Amino acid sequence: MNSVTIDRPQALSWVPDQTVDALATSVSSVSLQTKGDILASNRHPTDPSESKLLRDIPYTLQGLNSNTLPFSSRSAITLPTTLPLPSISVLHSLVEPALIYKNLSAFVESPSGLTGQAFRSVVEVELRGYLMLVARIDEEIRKELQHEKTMPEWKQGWTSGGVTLKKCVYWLREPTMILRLMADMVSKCADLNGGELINELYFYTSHGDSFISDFANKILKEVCRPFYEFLQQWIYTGDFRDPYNEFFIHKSASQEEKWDAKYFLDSRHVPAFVDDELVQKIFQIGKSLDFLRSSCGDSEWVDQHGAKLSKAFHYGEESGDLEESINVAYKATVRHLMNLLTTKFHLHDHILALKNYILLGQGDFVAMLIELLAPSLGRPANTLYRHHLTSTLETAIRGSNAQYSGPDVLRNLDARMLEFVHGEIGWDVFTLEYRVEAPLDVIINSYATRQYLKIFNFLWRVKHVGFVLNVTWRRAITGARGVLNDVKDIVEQDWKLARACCSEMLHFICQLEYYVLYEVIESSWSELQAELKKEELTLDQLIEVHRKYLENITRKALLASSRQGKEDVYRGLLHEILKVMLSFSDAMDALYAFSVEEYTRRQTEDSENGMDETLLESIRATMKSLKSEFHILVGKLLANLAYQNDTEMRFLGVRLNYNEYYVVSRKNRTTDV
Amino acid sequence: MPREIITIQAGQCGNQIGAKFWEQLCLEHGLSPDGTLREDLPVTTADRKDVFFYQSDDTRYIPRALLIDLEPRVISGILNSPYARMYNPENIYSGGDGSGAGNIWASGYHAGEKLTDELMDMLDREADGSDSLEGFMLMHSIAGGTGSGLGSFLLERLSDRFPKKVVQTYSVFPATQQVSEVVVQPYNSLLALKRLTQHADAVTVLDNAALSRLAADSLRVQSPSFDQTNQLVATVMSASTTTLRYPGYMHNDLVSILASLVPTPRCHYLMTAYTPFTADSVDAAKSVRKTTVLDVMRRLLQPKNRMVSTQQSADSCFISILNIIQGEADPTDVHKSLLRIRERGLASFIPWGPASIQVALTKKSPYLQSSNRVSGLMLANHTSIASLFKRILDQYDRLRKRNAFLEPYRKQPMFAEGLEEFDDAREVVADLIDEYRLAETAEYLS
Repeated sequence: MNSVTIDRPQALSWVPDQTVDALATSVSSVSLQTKGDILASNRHPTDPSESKLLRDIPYTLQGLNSNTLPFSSRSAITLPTTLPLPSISVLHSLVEPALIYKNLSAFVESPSGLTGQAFRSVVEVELRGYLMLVARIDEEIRKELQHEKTMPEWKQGWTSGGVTLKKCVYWLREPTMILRLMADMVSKCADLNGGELINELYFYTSHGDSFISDFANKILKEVCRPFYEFLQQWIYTGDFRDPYNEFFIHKSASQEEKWDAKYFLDSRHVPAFVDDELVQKIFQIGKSLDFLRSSCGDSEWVDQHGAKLSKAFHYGEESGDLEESINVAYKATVRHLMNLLTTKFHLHDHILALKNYILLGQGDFVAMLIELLAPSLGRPANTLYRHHLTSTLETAIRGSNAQYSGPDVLRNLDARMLEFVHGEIGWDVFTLEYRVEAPLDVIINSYATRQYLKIFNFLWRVKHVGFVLNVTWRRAITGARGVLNDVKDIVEQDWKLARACCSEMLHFICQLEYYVLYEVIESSWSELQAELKKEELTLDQLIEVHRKYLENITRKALLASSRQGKEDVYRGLLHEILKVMLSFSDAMDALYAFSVEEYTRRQTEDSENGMDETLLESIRATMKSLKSEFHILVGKLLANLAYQNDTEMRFLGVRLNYNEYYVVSRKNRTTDV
Repeated sequence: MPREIITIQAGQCGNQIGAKFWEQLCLEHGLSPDGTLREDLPVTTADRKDVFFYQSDDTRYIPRALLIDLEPRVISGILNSPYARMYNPENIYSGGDGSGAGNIWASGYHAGEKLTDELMDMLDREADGSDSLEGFMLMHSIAGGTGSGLGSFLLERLSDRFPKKVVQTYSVFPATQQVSEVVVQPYNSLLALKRLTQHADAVTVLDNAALSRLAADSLRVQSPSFDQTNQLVATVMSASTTTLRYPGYMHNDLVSILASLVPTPRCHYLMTAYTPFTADSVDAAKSVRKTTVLDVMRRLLQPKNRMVSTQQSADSCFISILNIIQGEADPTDVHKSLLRIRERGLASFIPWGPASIQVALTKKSPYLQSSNRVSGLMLANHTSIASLFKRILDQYDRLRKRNAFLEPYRKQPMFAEGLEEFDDAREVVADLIDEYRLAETAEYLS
């Protein structure tokens, strides 16, 4: 392609009619004897003659081949070698627009996206103007040549000076400028489309030469048309039609995505004259409209929204107008979506239900469920039946205040087993599940569901251990009124130690539970509530605040940590501690069984079988070692908590050791359990 | 399966407190005196009525309560009150003649023995009407005849008949620092204390001296009536059962409350403090200036707010504390208060195990208009409670040395053969005092 740079640009505009008028004036003064005539009459004829060249020039200017000036390729032309240098120079200037035209006319035929097509059609209009000029020049030349035929022979081959090659150069000066400018633009944008094309062209509007910036603005008006049409459709109907990927929003190819990855931003295509905040708003509006239509079944509102607000935008309008319109559409859409999620889909009810059931907020329900399930959950996982779990769940709901939850909520609640491996018992695999339906599943998405499950499993384990210890405690305390009182001569001290240790464990469980439930969940919950109350919350922001809520809980509940590798320390320690507690409770049960047996033995005065000393000794040894293991683990946990950055987590350490019973030493701080 | 609790109110004091307690529960659950849901109030689903009530066929809420007295005055008072229709008439035993137990423990106990079948029928019927009975709550005083003697008898029977159910009592102790109208009060108290120690799992100790002082202080009257002090008790009882009646995250059953308070079976005497007593809980109470969480938690630790008068020594300490905070309490405030209390050393704890101020946050009944944002109840296991037992023991010893007023006891079967029961009870109480003293030392478990 013939690359032309524009030097010394001048304030010229492309107005063919005026130029042609000027031509007419000069033609009318042809009868006068001019200096040109005199010079011409003294010139040697050239080969080919100027007349011949003049006759062929209009063809050349239209990009057509002629005898004298044949195109040697798409971007080159062969000038006659027989001409003197000055003529060559003139011809050189004359063929430049011809070459650019040829190139540009090839360009406008090239395929492209909508924005590109708009650009091509603007160029085409300009080229048409150029062709009209060429037609006028052609007319003038023809008149001149006609006139020449009436001249004496010696004068033929020379123009009378009315229309000369040089004059043609003069006439074509301004159009050449424009052609050069367009050629420059095309050279930069030929392969661009959409926002990228707009941005490339927009760059010219800040050029210091107003000829260039004005021309660029004029072009952009047309080139931006598809963009604004798309915008209008996007923010008023939520329809996404972008066959050539020109808009700054793209649609995922996957049909599965409902929200998260269905649409995404492509910063390359963001027009430079639209700022980031607006981009975000535009993005949210269309996404929300599409979501309302496709996932919330609310096309009606979307249609009304479009009918009420829809308006067309154009390049070059007051930018405030666009911003204002977008703001109006944004507010309307975002509010409506939030409102719909809250009122029609009961978002808040479901988040609360998740807290009540999955995060164990409905204490009486949880207590009853545990009590009802306890006998079967102690058995191997493969002996559990799903229908038994669901019917127990039903009983726990009916027997607790859970029964007052709406049917919408209770329908979503289910009890099931996780996949288990051989050797696991019911407690390991039981889980509650709360399913949310579309469209809320974009908020309670698979990530959130996983987090909920993780928190549930942890809380459930803590509750389980708490339950077991409470049962053990009750047996030990109520037993003291009867059975245990009668054998205290042998086991009184054992029971004292066992009960004290049981209380110690209960204290741990209570503090841990209080910490997780109130300091972590309840605090995060109030933060979440505050966030949800905010005006103009978009669905994306909603998803984000909900994600953050869960992240806060998992982090502070010692289930995860921002520092790598740390999380396993807490999780591992807590897991071990809970395990020791269960074993200790088993040991206390053994002690109870032993005491009851001894009691029965005495009642029946069965003197033949003496007391099983070895059994008692082994129970004693087990309890002792479990107690010391418990102390070591708690010591490690406290040592780690003492150096926590998070104040709440550090405070858990304070709570667990409020009266400084445990000695916390720095060297206990450890990363391997 | 609501983990039901059956309440037993025995004797004059027990029935008076009980009546107040049920009035308070009606208020808190939006029930009218006949047990029907008040139609002028919005329905709430946040509470659990079925722990303390069951629904009759005509959907009235009926207290799971047994009303027992050997003399008719208090119970007929209840039966002439607007609340009469609420109770199940089958659950009421009222002695026909006006004599009662005559403030003699042994008469009350023996009357119980004679009424065994009748009383056990009532208990069994009520227990059978429960899906998953959690336990019993006895309200009585230990100074007189019926509450103390019959109450003791009931504790023994309960323990025997329901060995796995939790037995909790709200026991009003006599004002040991004052001269009492009932001269045999130390005898009655000592004999009842033995049963409370051996046959109850938790005893909430309320002493009349402290109750009067608190009522006088909050009501600004010279000598408050029993009605006024009983109102204090009812407030404490209702507050200590809020977590059962308004389920939240934790402490939704009696066992989980008591398990965190009672580490060893005998040290199960709990003291309480409540703040602020306002016009909502006690008529004509003076207004309270500040109710921040920190303020409430600090006041709960002050001995003058306790409903027991004990003498603290340098070694006395808390075995455990559970603060039930009602109202709009922010966990962050609780957190700060706990740190402040720890920094200032406002509470000292046992040296032989971990102990702390445990906190349960609960809702307030939506039906109670309250002028204060937060109110709090402390349930605490404190070693200084032994000083109260010591005073009873000393008074007993003084009386017994003179062999005074023993005649009415000898008339009853238990003492007909001799007074060994007294010596036995004395030994139990002395052991109890020793155990509490030992619990103040690090050697308790060794």
